[in-house]
Amino acid sequence: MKKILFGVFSLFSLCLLSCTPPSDIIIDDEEEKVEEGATSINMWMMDFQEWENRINISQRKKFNSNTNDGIQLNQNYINKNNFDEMIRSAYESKNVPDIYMVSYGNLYKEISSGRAIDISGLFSSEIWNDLTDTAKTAVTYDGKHYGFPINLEPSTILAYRKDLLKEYGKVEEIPTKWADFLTLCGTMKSNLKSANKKNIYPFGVPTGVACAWGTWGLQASATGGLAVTDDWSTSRITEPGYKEICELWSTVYGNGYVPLSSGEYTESIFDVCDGKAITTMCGSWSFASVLNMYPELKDQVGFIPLPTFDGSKDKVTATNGGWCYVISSECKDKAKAAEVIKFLVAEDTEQSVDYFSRAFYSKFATRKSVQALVNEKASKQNDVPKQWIDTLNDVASRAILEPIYDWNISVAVEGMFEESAMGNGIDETIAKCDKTVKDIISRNNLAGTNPRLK
Amino acid sequence: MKQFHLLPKDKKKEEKVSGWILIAPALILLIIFVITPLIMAIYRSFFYFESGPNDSYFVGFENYAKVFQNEVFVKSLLNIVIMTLLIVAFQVIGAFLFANILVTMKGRFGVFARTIIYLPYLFSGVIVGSIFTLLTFYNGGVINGILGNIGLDPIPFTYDTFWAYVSIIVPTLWVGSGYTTLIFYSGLINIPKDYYEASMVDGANFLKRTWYIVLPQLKNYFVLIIVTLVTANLQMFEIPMLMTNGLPLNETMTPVLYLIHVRANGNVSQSEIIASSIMIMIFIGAINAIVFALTNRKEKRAS
Repeated sequence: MKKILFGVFSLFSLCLLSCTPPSDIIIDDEEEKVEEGATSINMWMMDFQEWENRINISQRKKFNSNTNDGIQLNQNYINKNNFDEMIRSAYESKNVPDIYMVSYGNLYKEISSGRAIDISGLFSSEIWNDLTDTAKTAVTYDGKHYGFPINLEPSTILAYRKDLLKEYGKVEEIPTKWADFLTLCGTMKSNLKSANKKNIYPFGVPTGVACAWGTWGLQASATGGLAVTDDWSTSRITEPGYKEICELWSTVYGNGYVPLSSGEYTESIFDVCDGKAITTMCGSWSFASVLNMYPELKDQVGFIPLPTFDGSKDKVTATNGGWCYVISSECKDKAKAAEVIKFLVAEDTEQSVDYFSRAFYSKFATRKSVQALVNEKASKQNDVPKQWIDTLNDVASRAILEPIYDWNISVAVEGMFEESAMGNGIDETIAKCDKTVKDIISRNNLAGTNPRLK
Repeated sequence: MKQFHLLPKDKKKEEKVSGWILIAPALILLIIFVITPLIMAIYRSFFYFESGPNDSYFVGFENYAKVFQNEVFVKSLLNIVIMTLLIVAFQVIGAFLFANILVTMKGRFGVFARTIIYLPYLFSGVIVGSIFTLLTFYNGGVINGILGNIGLDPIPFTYDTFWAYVSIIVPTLWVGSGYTTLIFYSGLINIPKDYYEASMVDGANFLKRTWYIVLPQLKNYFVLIIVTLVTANLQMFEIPMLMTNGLPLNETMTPVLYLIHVRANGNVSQSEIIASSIMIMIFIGAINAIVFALTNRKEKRAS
């Protein structure tokens, strides 16, 4: 018996030992060419969805197929939850990649720590001029460019189920004004109750940590700015718009328009697809979620910009997030690293257009030339409904960049909305949040330090 | 004939050398992977520090001051004390009572019962959290589905502080009670039967037998379990992260979960995160010191 157990254990151990982690996530038949004596440029990539990794790997193979450019491109795919730690560890151990991905929100930290270098001179002025204003602002500090933008993603739009809206809301379109939207929620709630549909809710909002960043667009729409003034000198929490949002939160929770607790905001679209919510706030990435997971609902799901408090269709209703490539301060051959970035995202338009179309047009291009071609291609296809693409273009063109002020400020605002949702006094809640934000500003000497204004 | 001594003649010295040789591998690993990083972390917590080419600069206790002024961090420390007290109390009492029942179960049924109650301990916190999330989800969870079918309102597990605590404490008890029960069970079966027989002759009932025989005999087991549970629960994060993620209003935020939250956003300096970690370590160490002091005092009194 012992011998059998020992044998099984040995076999199991052997299997484990032989299972070395794959160097690539996607395996295909195409053989990768190796250029002898070439300079190795190492890239660290975020391990995103499979379709995105597949594109990145095929681009790398295409780059390496040229064996006369003196560059051999290597990529490592890193879990996004550990990416920041891995970068910090890499700098500690002096084993730093030449190029890596950074979100726009985290870029300034890479700059202030000296990890990301100024790459302005490594790209021609034509390349920089081709960037959209938003994309250029996202990577520019003190007049210098520190990253090359890959994409932009609006964080907040409104998704809805057309069939459920018609059945329980008795309308086919969502109002553009929050007051009218709340009236519609009341109608839907009442009709759902009559039909004994307790598990369907009229609306869905971000909760917890997601409420801290998922409401930035709503804050901008209601108040014309965010929680602190542009120069970070003082709080803006006493702006009337914040009270309007608190009242909105109090109403939707108090009247049972939203579930008292909900799942991840990044997956809130699934509540609409599963028929648990008729409308929900969500991010533009939801296009791809619907088309990948619920393709049969393509014509039943609609996406529109968030309503506004005055019904205006010209206001900011979302923030633009996204990713850029930076060249590390430890990179030995910065010009060659720039050549790689040029090939991947800065010069070729065809493969960039392919990337955005494979993303079901859920992301916004950072180059004007690419966006023009994406729009042209989008207008000729039927895979993604036109309404979705129009919504993305509309929202992204008006969206502001994600703020880079102290995260605790956003957490304090999230707490203010949650307290309002729980029925606590709105005026007291606002006063408390205002004090907290002012304390954070003075404690961290934030006044006048917004690097985007330098 | 002359004798060769490979080891020192002096017995005490010999023992000392062999002792050091035996603990050397563990000691070397501890120095490399625990003590050195700890010293580096403490050193860096007094600087503004970010990995990278830029120089760090001395800021004294500024990082610690910022951490202490952070309401969410302070709240997380209070939360974890309350959670730990509740979990340890429920788990110790429940496991002790259940172990008493297990002792009475004989044969295959006893083996089956012991196996069944130990099974949850084999699951990681992430799996347990995922299972209970499916049960407690507000819209579509099993519990709220059943409540809905009998005409009751769903329970908002992440909206109401009481239910948020319940949704963390119950899975934690479920996963840990089996192990604690088996430790008590092994203690109970080691108590000599003569003691029970003598007490029965004297007419002692269950409560008296428990008070005068079982509890004193299991004193060391209680110390072990309480110290282990306090340490483990002060550091918990998987189940709170999956069940409530700090909601509502950071009422279920734990210190380690707080660290994960601040680490996840790019606007908190590395040195501030290090200072938070050290504060959590000191806090857990202090609570453990209190627990040890209390249990030692009881031991001295008993002796």
